[in-house]
Amino acid sequence: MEEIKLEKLDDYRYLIPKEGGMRVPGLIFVDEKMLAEVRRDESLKQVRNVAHLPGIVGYSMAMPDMHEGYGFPIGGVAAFDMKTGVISPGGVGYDINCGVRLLTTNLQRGDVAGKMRELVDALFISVPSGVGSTSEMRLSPDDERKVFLTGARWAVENGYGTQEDLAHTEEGGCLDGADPSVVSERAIARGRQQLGTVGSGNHFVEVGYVEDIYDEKAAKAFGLHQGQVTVFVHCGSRGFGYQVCDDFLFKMGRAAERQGIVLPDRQLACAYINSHEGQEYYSAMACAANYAWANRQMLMHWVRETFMRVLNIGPRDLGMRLLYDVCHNIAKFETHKVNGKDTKLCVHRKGATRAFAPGREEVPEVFRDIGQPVLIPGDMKRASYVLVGTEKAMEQTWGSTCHGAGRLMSRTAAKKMSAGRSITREMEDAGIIVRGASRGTLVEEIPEAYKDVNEVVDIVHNAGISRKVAKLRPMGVIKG
Amino acid sequence: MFEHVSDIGLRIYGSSFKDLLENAGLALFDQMADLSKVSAVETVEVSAEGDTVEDLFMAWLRELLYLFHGERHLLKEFEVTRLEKGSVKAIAKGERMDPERHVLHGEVKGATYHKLEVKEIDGKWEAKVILDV
Repeated sequence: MEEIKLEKLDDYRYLIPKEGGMRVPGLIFVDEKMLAEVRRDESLKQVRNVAHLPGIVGYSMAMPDMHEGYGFPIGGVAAFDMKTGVISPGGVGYDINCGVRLLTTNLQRGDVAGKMRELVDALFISVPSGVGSTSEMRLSPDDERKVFLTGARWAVENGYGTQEDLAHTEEGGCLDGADPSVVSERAIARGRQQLGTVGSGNHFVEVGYVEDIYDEKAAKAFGLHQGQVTVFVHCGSRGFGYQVCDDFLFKMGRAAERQGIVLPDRQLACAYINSHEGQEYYSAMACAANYAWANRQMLMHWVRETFMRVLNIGPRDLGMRLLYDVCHNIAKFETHKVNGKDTKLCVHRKGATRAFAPGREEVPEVFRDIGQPVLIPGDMKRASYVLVGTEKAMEQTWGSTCHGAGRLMSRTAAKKMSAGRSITREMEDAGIIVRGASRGTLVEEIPEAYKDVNEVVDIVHNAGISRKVAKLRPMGVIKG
Repeated sequence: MFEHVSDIGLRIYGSSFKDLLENAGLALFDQMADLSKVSAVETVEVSAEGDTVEDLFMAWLRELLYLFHGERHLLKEFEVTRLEKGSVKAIAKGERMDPERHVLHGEVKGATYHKLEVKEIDGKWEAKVILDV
C-alpha cells in the first residue's frame, strides 16, 4: 500500500500536504497511536482523493474514528463552495441521516439494575430490529409524503412524542428542501415497511447510566447527573436512504462525466451543487434525512412506553426526555467564516457529528449559552460519551467532531475472532445484558472490532474541537 | 471471499461474461440466505444495462439486490437469455422470502464501485466486488 506523506502539526493533528491534483491539503485529527491504526487501511488516501473535488474549501478532513469507507472515508468532513463546489452522495454515505439520540430519565441506576433482563427483553419485542426487519406500520401514500417532507414533525403530530422532542433534535427533526417527486419508486418501496425499525449492523438501543461527569456546568444544562439512567437510540433511514444513495451514485457518475469533473474514485460521484442533478440529490437526501428523524422519533416513543410498562411507572416518574438527536451522515448548507467572512457552504459529514459552539442560532435555545450537545456512542461494552461543541470546532472543522468509536476490524475478522465464544455470556460477565436479532450481528459487533472510544474522544477533547461532558456506561443493549 | 474493513468482498469467476453474471447472482444470494431452503418455484425476469463491463456487472447486481429488498425475492438459479453490448436479459428462479422457513445469514445492502474489478484474462472472466453489509 502506498505510504501517504504526513506533516505532524501537533500531538493531535497531521497535515497531508497538497500535491498533484489536490485543491486543498488534508487535515486529520489523530494521535501517534491511532495513526498507526489508520495507516492499515486506505482512509488516508481517501482523504487525499476528496481534496481533488471541485470547490472544496479549507481542508479535506477526517476525525480520529476514521476508517476506510466508499469514496469518502468514514469520519470525513468536507465543505464546498456553493457556486463552484459539488455535492456527493458518497460524502453522505448510504445510510442517510444515520444518527443517535440520547434520552435521559428520572431513574437512577439502582432503579433498573434488578430489572435489566426484563427491560431488554421487552425492548427487543417493542422495537423491531434485525436483518430486513419490518414493522406493522402501513402508511398511506399521503402519510409517506408527509414523512418525507416533515420528518419527526409527522411522528409527533401522529402521537409519537412531544413538541419538546422536536426542539431537542438537530434541525428540529426536519431538513428543508425535501422533494418526494425526485425519489425513485424503488426507494419508496424499500422504505415502505421499514419505518419504525432499528435495522441491523451497528444499530442499537442501549440502556446505560452516567458513570462520570467531566463538566458540571454543561452536564447540569444538559440535565445529566451521576448514576442517572439514559437510553441511546442509533439508527438511520434504512433501505429508503440506501436506495436514494445508490440511485444517485449511479446518476451522478454520469453527471460528473457530463459536467467534466475528473474523479479519482467512482464512489466519489458528485455534481455541482447548483446543477440539476446536484439539486435533485439534495432534495432526495432531505427526504431520507426526514424519514430517519421520523424513525428515531417513533423508536423513542416505544422505548418510553416500554419503560413505563416494565417498571410500572407513569410518565412523570419516568421523566424520559430527549436530550438531543444528532445526525452523523449528512450534507447541509451552513454559514461559516471563510477568511473572516460569513460564507454559505455545503458541509458534508460522513461519520462525523456537528459540534456547534455556544451562541450559534442552530443550537436549541436552552443550550445556546453552553454549546450543542454532541453524542458519541461507543461499542457495546466500553462506554459512550456526551460532549459539547466548541469555538475551536467552528474555526477548524466547520463545527464538526467524531461520531463514535470507528471500526478497526472487518466483519469477517471479527467473526473469526469470536469463533467458539459466547458473546452474550462475556457481556453478561461484564454486567451488560445483550439481545441480538442474530448471533451473526453480535459476533460482528464485538468490542474488539472497534477502536477504543475513550481514546477517540480524548483526541477530539485534547484537540479542542469538542469538550468532554459525561461518560456513560452500558447496562443493556439490543442489537439489530 | 476477501476482507474489507466494514464489509465483505466477493471474487467471482466465469468461463464467459455470461457465466460470470450467473455466478455473481448465485454468490450474492448465497451471502444473504441459506439457499438449500429456497425452492426454484417462481420465475422473475431480470434486465440490466450499462455502457462498460463494469457498469453492466454493477447494474446486474443492483437489479438483483432490488429484487430482494424491494420485492423480497430469494433467487438461486440464474440464466442469462440474451447478452448484448451494453445490456443483459435473464431469468432467475427462486421464491419470495418467508421468514418462517428461510434463514437469512445477513443483509447485503448494496454492491459498491469501491475497488471494483471486472476483467477478462485469457478468455476467462474474473470480478472483484465489495458488498456493503
